[in-house]
Amino acid sequence: MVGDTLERVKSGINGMDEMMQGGFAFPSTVLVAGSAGTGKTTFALQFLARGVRDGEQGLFFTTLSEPTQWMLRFVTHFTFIDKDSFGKQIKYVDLGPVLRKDRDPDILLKYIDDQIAEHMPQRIVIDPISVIGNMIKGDYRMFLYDLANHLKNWRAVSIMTGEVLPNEPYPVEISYIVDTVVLLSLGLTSEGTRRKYLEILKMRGTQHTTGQHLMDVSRDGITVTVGLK
Amino acid sequence: MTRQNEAVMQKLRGALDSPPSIRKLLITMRAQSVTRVDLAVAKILLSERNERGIYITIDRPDKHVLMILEKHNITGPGEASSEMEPVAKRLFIAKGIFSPAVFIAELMNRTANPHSGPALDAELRAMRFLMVDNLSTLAAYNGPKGIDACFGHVAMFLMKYPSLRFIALAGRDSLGALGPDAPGFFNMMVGIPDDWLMD
Repeated sequence: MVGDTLERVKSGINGMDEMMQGGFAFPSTVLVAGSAGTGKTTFALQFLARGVRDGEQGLFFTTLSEPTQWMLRFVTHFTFIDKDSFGKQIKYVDLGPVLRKDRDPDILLKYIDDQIAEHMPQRIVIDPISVIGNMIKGDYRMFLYDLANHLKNWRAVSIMTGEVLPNEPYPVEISYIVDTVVLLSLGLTSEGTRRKYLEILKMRGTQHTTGQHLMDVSRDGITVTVGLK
Repeated sequence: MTRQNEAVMQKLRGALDSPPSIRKLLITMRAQSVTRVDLAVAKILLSERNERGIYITIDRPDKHVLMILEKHNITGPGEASSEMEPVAKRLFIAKGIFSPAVFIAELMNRTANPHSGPALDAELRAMRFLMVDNLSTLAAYNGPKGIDACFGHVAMFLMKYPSLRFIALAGRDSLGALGPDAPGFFNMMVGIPDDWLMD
């Protein structure tokens, strides 16, 4: 039977767990890909917030060097955010200084490992992963391969968010090495309205729904309506 | 330390205080908390009781376990090793390569070596625990024969080294994948309630 030895954790995304046998496999690595404005960071935060509700530790690595308070300003209107959890059940770690100073993939991996060993999170987010490709020296593909292997060996569900470029359907170089690929996209309806969609492209060891499903982002976060396309 | 964490520690201390006749102890919890409870058990055994032993990890690199233990000041530099050397280390961390049976068989072979075997044998006799983390993942890598072989090797090892106690940690929900006979292998089972781990 598919998934009979896999533990699951709730995604936190309203309606999504029903699409994938109850949640993300634990442990596993997930790529959430989409173009700008599709809701990748909201997805990642909602995933961490669900962990807070379930008594789990979250670790949010940002590669953008945004000040914590800046990010919080834009997310605290969501009803799923517990402001008291920031700095406690959700630790925020800026990879920017390490990336800018050394540009060395080995030093970056060691720094990530150190942070994970210290906080022992069950949920990890790296947002966005794509930025790292432009900042490190050497082979980005090799770095991604090493990073995915490092993350898989810690017992956590790790979400990496990735920017989708105009000429590609999803970040191909990352999708090979993760267990799950979730694609967030924008589309125009026949009435000319722009809609958001969520699609599970790949999920190892799990029976999941296929195709694009309508997604809404409100103060309650992301809600997927399975079957509405 | 929060009240919930202290409750977990007290429960674990109580289980580890059980009489010496309890040689096979199973501690269960939700899968997401196995790493944290692993750490708590290691803290009690190594930091509080200064015991020596073997820690087998089925699904993690030994260096990750070492990194966590050092990061949380449970072992200091040089106190733990993943090489079974005939020197007095406090902790030997082994990667079980999908099953502790593989590691135990290798260890037994090494003790049979006429040159290095006696020193290793003496080391093992001075140890107090054989800990396996995330036992429930055994079912992901082994069929029923492999699972039986694991329990068989553990039983044989405990018979040869009577000072050792087998302590296994497992995700509660996937324990059934080890088969209906698995719980019967243990003398004692302790469950950590979910709400104690939610703080």
